[in-house]
Amino acid sequence: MKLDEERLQDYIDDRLDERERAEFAAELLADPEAAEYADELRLQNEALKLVGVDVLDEKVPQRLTETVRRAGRRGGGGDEDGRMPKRVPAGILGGAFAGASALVNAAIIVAVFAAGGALGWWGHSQLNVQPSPDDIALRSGRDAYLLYAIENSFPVEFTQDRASELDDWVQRVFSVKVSPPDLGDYGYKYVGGRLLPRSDGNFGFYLFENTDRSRVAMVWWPRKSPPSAISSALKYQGVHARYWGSKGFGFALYGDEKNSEVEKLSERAYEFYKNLFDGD
Amino acid sequence: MAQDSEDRARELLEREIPHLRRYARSLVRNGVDADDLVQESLVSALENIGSWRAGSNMRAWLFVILRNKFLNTVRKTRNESNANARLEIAVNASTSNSDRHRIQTAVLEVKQAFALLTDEHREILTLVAVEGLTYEETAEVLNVAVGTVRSRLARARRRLKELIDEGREADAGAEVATASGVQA
Repeated sequence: MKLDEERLQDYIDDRLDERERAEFAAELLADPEAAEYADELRLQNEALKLVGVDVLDEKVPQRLTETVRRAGRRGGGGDEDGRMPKRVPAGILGGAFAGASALVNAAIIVAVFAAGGALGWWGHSQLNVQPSPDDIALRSGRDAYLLYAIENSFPVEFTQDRASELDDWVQRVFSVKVSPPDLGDYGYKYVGGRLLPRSDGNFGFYLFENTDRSRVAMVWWPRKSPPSAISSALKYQGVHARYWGSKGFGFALYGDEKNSEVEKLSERAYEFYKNLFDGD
Repeated sequence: MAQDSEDRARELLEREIPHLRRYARSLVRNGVDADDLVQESLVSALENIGSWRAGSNMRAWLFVILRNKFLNTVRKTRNESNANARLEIAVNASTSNSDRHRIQTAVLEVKQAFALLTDEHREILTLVAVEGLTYEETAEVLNVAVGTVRSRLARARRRLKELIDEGREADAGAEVATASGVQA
């Protein structure tokens, strides 16, 4: 069988929809030689993702980050010492870190790590760019403000008794049903969920708790990359995250580094979303 | 662009610096020259930050700027870099990879063959396979039609496979020659 070159490239780059992919896979099954060729190209494509990965791990030369930050200080109306302008009201940060519900505080912590995800630390042992804790908090606070103050049709959080409302809202925003996984077999009850702010696209957050008050968080976001198996993406400051990709979404389960159940819980969640999205 | 939007855009821009460095390194090879190219591109991007559309792919927008800078200023270093890459590959080819894990072998094979590709093939694979740009975004960076991206990508992948197969044959030949030498 002579392979359709255009469809082969679409297959390798995950541009086929579910029906097209199934049809193409069926054609490959009927032609072992073509299937072997397609598999080799897919393997090469996966290996290509590691080309130059050492450059992403390098510490970014200070002159490059300074080029951006100096422009920010000049254009941002900062004071003579280049300090950040006082556009973020102090009340927003005070509300986020003091006197807020446990759910809000947990959400802010996850948003901090998600900001790290957008920097490209998945699969790498440390952040390439090292903003200060104040920078992270200020940026996360600002993203939270922009989501909840401007997008005022969103409630701040959905408790467990309003879970179906969150499902409906997610369906409306993302055009697909994403629900919390059932972790009851491991003693973890769903506490509540919300949408969390991220500068380059918001993501979903579900919180679970067991009778010992130990908590884990399930986080998900839209992505274009092909599905991937579970890997331990991060052990950082006492947090263990296990990450994977299904069709159209990335997922991560966060728990305390000392919580030996994180692995089992993430495998349960992985199977749940694999059935939901990949239909396996 | 409102000040807050500009601040967000700058923040997104800073996050893309590692990817800019990787793309620049694929074009220029020399690490210091690559960082110079990145810095020039950052300056240009910051001067024109108002023209970036919020919600669009910041990485693709930056890659357009960087590529234009590259085409204007650093093309002359490529021939020397290609020669150095070929010398490195020739040295590595004399070492057998028979003890390596299959996936590590595949990665090594791909990296070695990737360095031997033409600039055009290396660039299209960098943008689509390495940096994950869509065909449409890649077309914008390269200033070509999407159809051109598709055909270039297909040729690049085919050529990469040919180079890998040639490398395997060379390795197999070297192992046979070594075995013959031992027996003699």
